[in-house]
Amino acid sequence: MSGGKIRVLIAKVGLDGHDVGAKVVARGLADAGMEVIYTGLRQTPQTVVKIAVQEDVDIIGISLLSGSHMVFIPEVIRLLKENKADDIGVFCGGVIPVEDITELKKIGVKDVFLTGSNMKDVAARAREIYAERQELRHAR
Amino acid sequence: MDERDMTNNTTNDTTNNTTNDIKSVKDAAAKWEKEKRQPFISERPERRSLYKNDLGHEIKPVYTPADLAERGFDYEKDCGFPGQPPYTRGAWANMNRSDHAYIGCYSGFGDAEETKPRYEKVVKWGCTKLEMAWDLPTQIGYDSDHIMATGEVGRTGVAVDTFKDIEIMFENIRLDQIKALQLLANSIGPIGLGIQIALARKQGVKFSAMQGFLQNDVLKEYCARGTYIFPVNSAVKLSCDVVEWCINNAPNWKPLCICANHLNAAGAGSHNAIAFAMCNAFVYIDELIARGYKIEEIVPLMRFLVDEREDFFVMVALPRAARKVWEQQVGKRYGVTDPNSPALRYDVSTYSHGGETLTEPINNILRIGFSALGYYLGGSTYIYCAGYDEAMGLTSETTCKVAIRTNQIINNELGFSKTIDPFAGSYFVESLTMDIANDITKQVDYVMKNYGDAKNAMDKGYFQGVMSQGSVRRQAEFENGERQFVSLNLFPTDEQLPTGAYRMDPAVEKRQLARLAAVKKSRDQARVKACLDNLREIAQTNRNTVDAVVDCLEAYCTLGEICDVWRGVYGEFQTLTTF
Repeated sequence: MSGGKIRVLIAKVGLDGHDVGAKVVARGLADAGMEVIYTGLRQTPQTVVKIAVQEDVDIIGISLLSGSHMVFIPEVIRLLKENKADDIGVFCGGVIPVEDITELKKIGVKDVFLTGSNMKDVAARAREIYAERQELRHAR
Repeated sequence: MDERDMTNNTTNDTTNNTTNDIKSVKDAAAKWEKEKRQPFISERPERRSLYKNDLGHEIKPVYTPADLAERGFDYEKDCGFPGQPPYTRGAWANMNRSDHAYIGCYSGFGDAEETKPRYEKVVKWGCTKLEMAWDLPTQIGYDSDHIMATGEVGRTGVAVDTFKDIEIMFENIRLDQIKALQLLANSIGPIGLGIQIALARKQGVKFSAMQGFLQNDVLKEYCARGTYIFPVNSAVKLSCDVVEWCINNAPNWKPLCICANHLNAAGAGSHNAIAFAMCNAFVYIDELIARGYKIEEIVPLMRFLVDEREDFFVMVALPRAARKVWEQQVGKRYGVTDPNSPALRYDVSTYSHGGETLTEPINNILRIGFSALGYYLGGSTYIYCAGYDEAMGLTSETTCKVAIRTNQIINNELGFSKTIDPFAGSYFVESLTMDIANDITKQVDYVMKNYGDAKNAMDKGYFQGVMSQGSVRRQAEFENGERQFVSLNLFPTDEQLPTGAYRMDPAVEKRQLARLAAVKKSRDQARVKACLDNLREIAQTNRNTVDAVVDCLEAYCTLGEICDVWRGVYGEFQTLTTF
């Protein structure tokens, strides 16, 4: 692993105001030694991708409890591709029906963390996603 | 009959205990500890190194009269009788022996046509306080056709764009047929109240023959729930407009519910959450006093949502402690000396949650039921039971019914409602009540002394810091196994996670957009413009906005149009990025 810290953007997309989980994950990843930026509430997919590119993050973690995940998350993935930034890994969490997990992974979401997840699992996955990105960048 | 039933003296009144009695109990306890418990532990070690609750209190193996004596417990001063200071035993003199606690049901999804039959069913099943769940665009003042509403219409609740949607849902439900109608309307209080007023007028129901309830507690949105729209001071002004209107026109309504629940869920801890919520309450009270109202006119229109999700006995003790602290705080801060003043009464509402899991969700019926029971026995007069499938998404019809039945069983079966405050005198529950009351008092005094008021404490990030620490602690305790959830981190399930969460038919969103377009086309455009212009002028000149909002709703102005007027006058709050 290179000497740089893993950079993570924790994002709230849409109008959902429930951000306990997002903040706990943000704190947990920061405590695990990563550099974490939190978008605050009510971001659009456009602003999330813009911040991610500007801040040169390795990973975007999106929190959604409002049932709008199948609208916003595919849009974030699409915009990352459009901006040639799809080496940034995306994971998400919140209230997401299990039926949707396969579909989300199919379009490129690295992992989905539901209620009851462990912070050390999230941190471990973040490290893996980071490593994948490093390899991708090396290959390019 | 069991011999113990005949010999066990259930009155634990320590005021009759002399110092000698207490010394004798202490000696006996020390003897028991040394001769019985310690030898037992040496063979059968305790399951945990420390027993504690989520508030951080260490829980002892047994409680005795000595624990009450140590805390200076005095029956009349600390406990008393229901319906009089210090209100520990209940807000009302005869509590549930006269009136059942309100039975709430929070529901709504898709559009008005989808939601209408659900409301008709839950009322039939016995819901006495119908709570409308709104989708996020409605709560934040965006119409369904606004760009910010993309993907959100009808998802977390029903979409309401104009008064037309309300008319559809309440075609067959009269407001005097249910005990109360509740809207959350935290950032758009005057709209929530306006809907209740317009609906009552349309149905010809007198304000005195029904009860409008609102949450309308906007302050907690800035640090916990997140549906804020306007800068804090303007938002507080709108919330207070609602209370002011009701003081003058519908004093039996409950237009302000001070919420500790969101603050606790965000990590505050149930004691701190109540303290912060009380500080929030003082902000509204101060604003209304500045408008010329007396505290005796204001507080009876308020209710108080307390919250605990981890410990049954805290659920019992919390409402008891909170009522007592309120009586003391209001007496102290507002100079209320008359013990009969209604300002001293803190009427408790609760949402029953008990750490529901996504795994094996049917077991959540028990968790929620225990929670409802704890609050009931602690003297909550309004109880909403969560749907046992809430961790999956919106509640289904079946889970709404189970939630209503849970309340009805507690209200009517198994002897729960026969006597008032049955845990009074329990050495443990009274000790806990004293400790929690002490915690709440210390935290309220700390905030008021160091920050002056809740707005400043939030502005400086104090509330958020306490909540953030708590949520991280709870997650760590879950991961290290201290917080246990059966089927999750204890006896992990071998079942698949449940499927079948509610999904909105995409046709519903199209139908909502079509209805909105049709209403916009058919309404009297000149009247719409005049109503919005009038609202703007009233907002600019800082007068009460409620009547102007009712005019707007009756003219079928959209909720977005009304909020855009306010956005133009007040501006918007910008999100915080700290965590």
